[in-house]
Amino acid sequence: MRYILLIVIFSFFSTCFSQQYLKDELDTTAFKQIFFLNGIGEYSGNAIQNQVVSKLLFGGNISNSSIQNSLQNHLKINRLGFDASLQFQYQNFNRLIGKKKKYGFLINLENSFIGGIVYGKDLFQLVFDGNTKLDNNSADLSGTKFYSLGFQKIGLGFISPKSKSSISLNYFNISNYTQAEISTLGLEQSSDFSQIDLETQLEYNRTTGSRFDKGFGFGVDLDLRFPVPMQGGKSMNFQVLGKNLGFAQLYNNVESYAIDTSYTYQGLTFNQLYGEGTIFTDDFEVLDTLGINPKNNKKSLLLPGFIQIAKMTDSQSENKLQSYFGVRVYNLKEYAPLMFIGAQYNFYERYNVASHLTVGGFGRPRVSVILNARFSKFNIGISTNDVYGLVARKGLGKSLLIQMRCAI
Amino acid sequence: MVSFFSCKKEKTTWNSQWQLPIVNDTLTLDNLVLDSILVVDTEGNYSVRTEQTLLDLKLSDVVVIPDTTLFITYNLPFAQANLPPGITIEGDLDQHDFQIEEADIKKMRVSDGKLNIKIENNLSDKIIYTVSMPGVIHNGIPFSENYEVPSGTATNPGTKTTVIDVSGFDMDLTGISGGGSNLVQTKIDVTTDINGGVVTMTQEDTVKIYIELKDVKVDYARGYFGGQVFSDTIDMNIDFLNNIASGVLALDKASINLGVKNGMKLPAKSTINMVESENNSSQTLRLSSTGENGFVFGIPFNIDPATGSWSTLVSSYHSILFNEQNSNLVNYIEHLGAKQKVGYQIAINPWGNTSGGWNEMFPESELKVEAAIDIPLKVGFNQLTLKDTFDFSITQNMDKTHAQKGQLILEANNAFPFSGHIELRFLDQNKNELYQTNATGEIKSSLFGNLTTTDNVQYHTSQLTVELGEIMFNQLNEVKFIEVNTVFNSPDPLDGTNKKYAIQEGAFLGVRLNGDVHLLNSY
Repeated sequence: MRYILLIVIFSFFSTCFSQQYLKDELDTTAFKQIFFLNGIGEYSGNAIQNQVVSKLLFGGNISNSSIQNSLQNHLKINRLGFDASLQFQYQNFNRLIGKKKKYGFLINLENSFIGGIVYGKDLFQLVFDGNTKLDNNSADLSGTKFYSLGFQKIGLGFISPKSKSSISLNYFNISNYTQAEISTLGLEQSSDFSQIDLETQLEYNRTTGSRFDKGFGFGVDLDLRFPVPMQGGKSMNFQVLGKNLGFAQLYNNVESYAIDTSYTYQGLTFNQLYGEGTIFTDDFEVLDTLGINPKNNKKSLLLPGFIQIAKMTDSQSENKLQSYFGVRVYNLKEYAPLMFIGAQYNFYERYNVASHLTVGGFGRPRVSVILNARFSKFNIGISTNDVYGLVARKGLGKSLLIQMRCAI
Repeated sequence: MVSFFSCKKEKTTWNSQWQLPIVNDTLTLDNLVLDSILVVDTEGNYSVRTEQTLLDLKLSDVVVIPDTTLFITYNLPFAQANLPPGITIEGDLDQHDFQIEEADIKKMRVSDGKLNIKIENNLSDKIIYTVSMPGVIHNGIPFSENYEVPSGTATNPGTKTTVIDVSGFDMDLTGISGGGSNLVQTKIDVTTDINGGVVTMTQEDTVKIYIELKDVKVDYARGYFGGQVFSDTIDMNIDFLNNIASGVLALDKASINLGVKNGMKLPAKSTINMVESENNSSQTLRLSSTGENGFVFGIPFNIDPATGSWSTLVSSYHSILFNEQNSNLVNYIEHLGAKQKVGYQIAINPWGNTSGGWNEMFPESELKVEAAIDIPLKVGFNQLTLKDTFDFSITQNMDKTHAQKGQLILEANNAFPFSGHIELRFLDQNKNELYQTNATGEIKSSLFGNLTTTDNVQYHTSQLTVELGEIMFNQLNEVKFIEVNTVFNSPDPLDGTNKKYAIQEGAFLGVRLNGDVHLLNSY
């Protein structure tokens, strides 16, 4: 129930991110219209266990033992990503578009939220444990990158009724954006905590204000499906899938901090604590004192798009067992290229099950399972990209995807 | 709706522990008292030695020249005259009283001031008026100036105004006879225009001359300055002593030398009626003298006139020494009175004009009372409680990440021969106590230490913690003041009894204060 809630919360009450099933299936059945509704909620990482992340998402007290368990999992470089979306697509195969009226049209609607962070162990320890137990009394946060984007999308495109290949142009509303990149952030402290040295070079941008539209963008989705001939006169169906390939422009409401400074703090003097103009006066601002002042900027950015090349399964295939594989590459620094390979087994006319192994993305290798039921005009599929994480408190992610299709 | 609200996210919370430096500073005696009044004696110990001016009478306090306007009119001594061009009618020498109160001034030098002259002419032709002030001399030349005043009528006279800076002017105020005082001489001459026609002047025609002496200050005066009496009760507040809540300070010795220096060539008599202090307990104590120093409160003593003149001027000097032998001075200081009162009276020329009108004051003449204070800082404390309150304002949102509990960790390097126990009180806007906590242990006296600096200053390192519980952090937003109460003692390391110790040169208190805070992270 919680994972359904995760999708709902991300989709409606946050801003959400669009993913898509890694596995796609070619269905050349001629329909006049198809309605798709996809819901996706997922987070994954390589170090932070579900017993921590689930509390971060759903609330509750994170125990110190949970924190220590996750801390032990951390490597030098770690990733954590999350995405959620609610996506609707309408496909109309009446041949209305093109000189020879060869193409139908499609409409996209989507509400999405994506975010990710690449970070070191020290950042996790500082945030969740404080500064009293740092190894060697130092922390290196250099190389930390954080990104999150919330957007809404509406688009129109055309689709081939025969191959189901499609291309669409989408308009994006940007409702939320945060980005941070820490080139250098080193913290050194003496063993008695009497001195703290900070060396930092970082950039931080975020949209501010309560307005819903904080920027706009344009992007292209494409879904090219084509057979690749194989030996023996057979062929395999491949798909080149591109989503959100475009850019966005944020309005002049991006608060930007650029900090490049070294700072040594050994405590205050009595004069700073006592008398006029002390740190306890109402107008004392730490950032002002450090000479750190935000600027409001416009900012352009790439949409969080991806390209996936994959072998598809075929709904018309008479083979009970079919393989599929592929690779997906995002334009996000926080997201490592992801590869997957798996197989689908049709164990009954209307039902099939698929499973694949993924390597890359935000987390460690994961095993996915997809259950799909097909009726005459209605399909429903439910899957997870992390079987272990779905059930284990010590898992490193959770994933739940639901796809519904209604064909007329 | 029910399902929506049932899905409302519970708060996510976790604990983290942070330790940060708060204060890192070193206090020396220079921070506590003005370094200019600290001296080191031959044994390498500190003394407070300072001079405070209690009274400083200058010439301007004794001789005050009021703003004075001389109104001079001139009429023909006969019924009518037809004055041909270029003819001069000389006026009479006249004298005017400056009306200087209290004093009879015969001679003075102006250091600053202005002479505003305004002449009105109602004759039918322009007239040249010559204004002479024979006793007013600048650079050895008596004042005499010509002013050409345009023609006018009785209802609309021609006027001429001028302003003269009289700084550096000497004024002989003895008048026409040479034996008077406060008298300035004037003479007005009238000359017709040499290029004009015949001017008919009758007794109806009046020449009006206004001579205003304004903002005059003098730096030399001779005469009889009157039998003036200056008396006052001076209130002084030593704010620092207001912070002493209770306890006893013990001093070994102290001295105050009251020096009365008279640079005026006039006799005077002074009475110090009382020196009194009031401490925080509203108890008053008067400084008393045994008389061995030749002084008794309330009994006047004579102040001789200065001798010499100008560069040879020598002030007279009268000294009254108070110390632990001839007064209750040590007790008086140990009384720790923040409010000090000094009542005095000084009379000049107390026996009248015995100098034959020859009081004299020069630019550097002053009657000054100075207190030279010398307190060797060999002191002892017995539960002396110093209370200090400072502003504090930190707000935290208890629904968000906030400090839950913590402690202050103090490391003190103390080179003073005194120990201190610290209590913190957290007060609200109305200074009501919200939370109180005591440090564990105390800052030990340097005499307990076996460490020395490179300058051979002995010190002791103490480590204390002050627990700040959840109750305090729950009320942190209401805390507007922190009151620090420090109880000082000067224990003997051998028997623990409080004794008097000298403060070694270079004594310091190094403070390193860390805050150890348990954060409840929440969102």
